Amino acid sequence: MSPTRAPFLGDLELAVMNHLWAGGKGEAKDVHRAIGRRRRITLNTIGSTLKRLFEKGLLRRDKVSHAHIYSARVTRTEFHQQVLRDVVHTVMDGESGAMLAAFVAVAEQVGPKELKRLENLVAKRLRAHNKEDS
Amino acid sequence: MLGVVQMGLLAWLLFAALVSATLVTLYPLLRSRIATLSPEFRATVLRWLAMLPAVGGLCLALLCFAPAAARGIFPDLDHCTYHGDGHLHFCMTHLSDNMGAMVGWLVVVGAGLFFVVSASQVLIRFRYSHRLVQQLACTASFDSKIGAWLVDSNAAFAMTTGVVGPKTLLSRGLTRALSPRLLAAVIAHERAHEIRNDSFWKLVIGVLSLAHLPVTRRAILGDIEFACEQACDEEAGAQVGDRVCVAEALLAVQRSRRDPRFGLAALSFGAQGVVCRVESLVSSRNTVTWSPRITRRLLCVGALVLCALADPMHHLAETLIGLLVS
Repeated sequence: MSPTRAPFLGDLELAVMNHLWAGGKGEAKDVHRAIGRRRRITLNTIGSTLKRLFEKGLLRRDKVSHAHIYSARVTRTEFHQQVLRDVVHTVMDGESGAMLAAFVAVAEQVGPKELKRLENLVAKRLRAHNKEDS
Repeated sequence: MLGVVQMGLLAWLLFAALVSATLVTLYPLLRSRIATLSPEFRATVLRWLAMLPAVGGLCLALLCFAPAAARGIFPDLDHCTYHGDGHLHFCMTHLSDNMGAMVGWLVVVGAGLFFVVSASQVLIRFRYSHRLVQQLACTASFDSKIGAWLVDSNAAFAMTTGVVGPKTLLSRGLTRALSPRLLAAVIAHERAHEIRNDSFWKLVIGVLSLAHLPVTRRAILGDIEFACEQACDEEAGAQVGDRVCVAEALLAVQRSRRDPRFGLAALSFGAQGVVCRVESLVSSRNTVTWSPRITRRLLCVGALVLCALADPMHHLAETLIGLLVS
């Protein structure tokens, strides 16, 4: 995926991408039929959204006759992986500060010897626990 | 009236600076005592310490108006009669000649700008990370069996995100790496973050702690984060009925990070948090916990101290602001 970071997608942009990833047709009127009508959005709005997604590097655009046909440039998995990488890097750089609380901070990596020591400590505690119970 | 507002703001700034400067020396000494408190108690104490310069400075500034306010109720109680000429009067009835001095306004506006710029940076970072994680959350599907949002990723992670209506996100990699028992401990830990509204408090404290000097701010915020993690570990231990199970889950997640199947490159940043948390969970250390008796005692002592301090604070503010604007 060409952008260094995954671009932010709004609600409508995500809906359009999900439609295309699901194999939906990429002409503006087809996308409008599939998701625009339900949301009471005009064809122009769908057209603008497709254009924006193309400018963000997420869609390919081919001209067929007078119409533009859009298709996804990245797969759903690739996009999700890029988003996840961005989340990881944001946490590592300490930028996010606080919007999320991770069970184990991504940046933390216990060394193998220390990990073994802690696992032995836990095992010892569990044995003592079981002895008390029996 | 404008002059009174200016004096009030200057007093707030001066007292905030005094409290902040005091904590630079005091905090390293207090840290070891604070570490003996239970995680929940410790997190609360640290939050108040983080907000102390801003909130404490404001309270002291308001306290300075108490003698003048008392004169409004008891007119015979004129505390200003022994002031000499030219002394700044910090009250609403005796307005001084140097009220509204330019220097005063420059200091107030300068400090205000600094605060707005710093707070904006904090909020922009929050907003960015919020949008980022919301993007991740959009790719997740809710699993009613587990009761959390599942992200389609091989990486092993669990996180709680969001200030309003926080959500717990788990990766499929994590659900594959952990047994149901350990997964329950992880989910209980993340639920505890949701219930405690840790993200909301982090945002509030992130802004209010700006009145601290950077070195103290970094230390306190780091300690708060650690205390919150430990508090959630204890809550998870209580939910699953076994604190050692939470310790096992922590180690299992660490172990899974080393498994190439579960992705996420190792990022060597130090692992002190996990080591301390595991050791704390497997030990049966006694810690000081909060009780209503402590609250009552603190409130009584606080009220007495405030009454005693009102007049000295009033005169201290007059002296300090007088030095600044003259």
